[in-house]
Amino acid sequence: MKSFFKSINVALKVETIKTIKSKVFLWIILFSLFVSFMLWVLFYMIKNPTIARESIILRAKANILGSTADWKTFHEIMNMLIAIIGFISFGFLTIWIFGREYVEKTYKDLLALPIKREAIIMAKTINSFLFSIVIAFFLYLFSMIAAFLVGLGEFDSKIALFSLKRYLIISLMNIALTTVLSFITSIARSYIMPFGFLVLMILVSNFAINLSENSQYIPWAIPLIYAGMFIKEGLTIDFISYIILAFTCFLGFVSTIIFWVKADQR
Amino acid sequence: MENAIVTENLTKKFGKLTAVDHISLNVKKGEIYGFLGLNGAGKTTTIRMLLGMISPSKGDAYILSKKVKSSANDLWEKVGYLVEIPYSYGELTVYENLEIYRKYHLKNDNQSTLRLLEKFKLKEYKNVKAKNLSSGNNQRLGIAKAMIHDPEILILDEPVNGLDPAGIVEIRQLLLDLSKNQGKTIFISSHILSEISKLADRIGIIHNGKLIKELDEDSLENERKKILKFSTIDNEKAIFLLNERGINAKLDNENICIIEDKNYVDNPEKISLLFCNKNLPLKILISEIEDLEKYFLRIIGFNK
Repeated sequence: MKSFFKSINVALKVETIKTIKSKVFLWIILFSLFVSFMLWVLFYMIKNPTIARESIILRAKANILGSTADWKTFHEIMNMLIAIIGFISFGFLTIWIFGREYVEKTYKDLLALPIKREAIIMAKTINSFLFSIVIAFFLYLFSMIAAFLVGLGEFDSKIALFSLKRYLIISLMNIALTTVLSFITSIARSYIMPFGFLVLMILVSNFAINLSENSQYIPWAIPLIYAGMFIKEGLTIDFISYIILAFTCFLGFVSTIIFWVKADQR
Repeated sequence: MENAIVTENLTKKFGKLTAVDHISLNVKKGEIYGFLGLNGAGKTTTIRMLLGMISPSKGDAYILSKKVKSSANDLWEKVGYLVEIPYSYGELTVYENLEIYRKYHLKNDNQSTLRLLEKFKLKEYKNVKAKNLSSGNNQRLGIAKAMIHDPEILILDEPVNGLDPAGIVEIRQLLLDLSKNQGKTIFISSHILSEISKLADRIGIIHNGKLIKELDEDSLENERKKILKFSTIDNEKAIFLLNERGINAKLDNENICIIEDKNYVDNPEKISLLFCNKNLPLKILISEIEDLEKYFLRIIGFNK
């Protein structure tokens, strides 16, 4: 057991170096910055309707968000952002962390090491979780800066804390779902299939929350419902939703390990 | 001598295709074992089974008397490998790539990394990203990665691919030094037959998934065809004279006489004497030993 923890420790250090040294993580952070900038633009338009009227596209987008540029709207948008953008960027990161080994054909070098393959997969998964949290942090930080820059009125720390808690829970829900992507990436040995799955799940969950009365039991719809992105009245997640989410996370993780340990690596 | 690598009826089937068919071989400690075969003969599949990357459909492989399986992690502390083309993390430097494998091999100090940079002439590329390396230097990096933990056994699949002639000689000398002076066991597959013949103590020939021949230096010497090529002022008369004496001789496409009779092949002076006495002075006399390439192609039944 002691050597297993030592293995995880080593694997975690190595995998972290591999992620930090790559440009992918930087691109995702820049994407967060871009999203926050767009948020600033939209709030700016809401606050300055005369400018917005001159730009048809921006006016249309600003209308979607509602008409008030305040902290309540900001927090609502942040929850929606992390539910959709979070799922996409965490998914991209996970697909890259696992897929790069196949695309760059370096997976062969991970198969016959003194470190157990389980430890490497665990380290990759923890790595994907931690860096997803970092992305969520930067998205929130950049968006807060954007919100302060545009000026959204009096800041209520109690509401902000409550909203931040929801933001974190939605982030964790989306992070939990990335284990399925790590499994699909491993069996596909490429980026295309997991990206396809990612897009499919976004579509399915968006349709489900607006069409199905039982969408709270679809794993990928749960973060969206929690973020309040639904039309159907009374739709809410319950205890079983949490169990389904945890089970999906566990299943994805265990399947990835079984695949790496048991399947032929050709 | 103790065995370092043993396979017993090692078999791998992919659906209906039998990629490796009941291969039983043993590699002794400290020797260089050359594994020869055409593309698709089953070399890489055998190597992947030796490394626990794929599981055999039948049979077993043992390294240092331990059964090979993906979970035998302590075994991999003693084995270094290079499977097919070496790939590295392109965005990381040469040094960082080596450091990653040093850490994954649980080695604490970076002296081995620095030593290998020196040994493989990669020091000047230390801070160059792996994606910017030439194929030859990438190959060096691949072999350096395989040796980062100073393993007892090296399993190398086509290790001299992409190297220039000087690089090939360098790697050959390195492998010979590792085997002869440091007692390392080396299992090497290569399609460069001349390279194998300069390196290997023993050779295994695999064809259509089957190990069709295993040879050491002596048996290879005995099994390779030896012929005597000669030319006189009248080759047709020379052939007639030999056939008259019951000696099988023939003319090749270039009108050169060829004789395979062991008595004359081993004693070419007899031919010289015979034709001098018959007033047929020799213009050419060459003793030729079949090279490994020709031997290999003959063994696998490859007809030009």
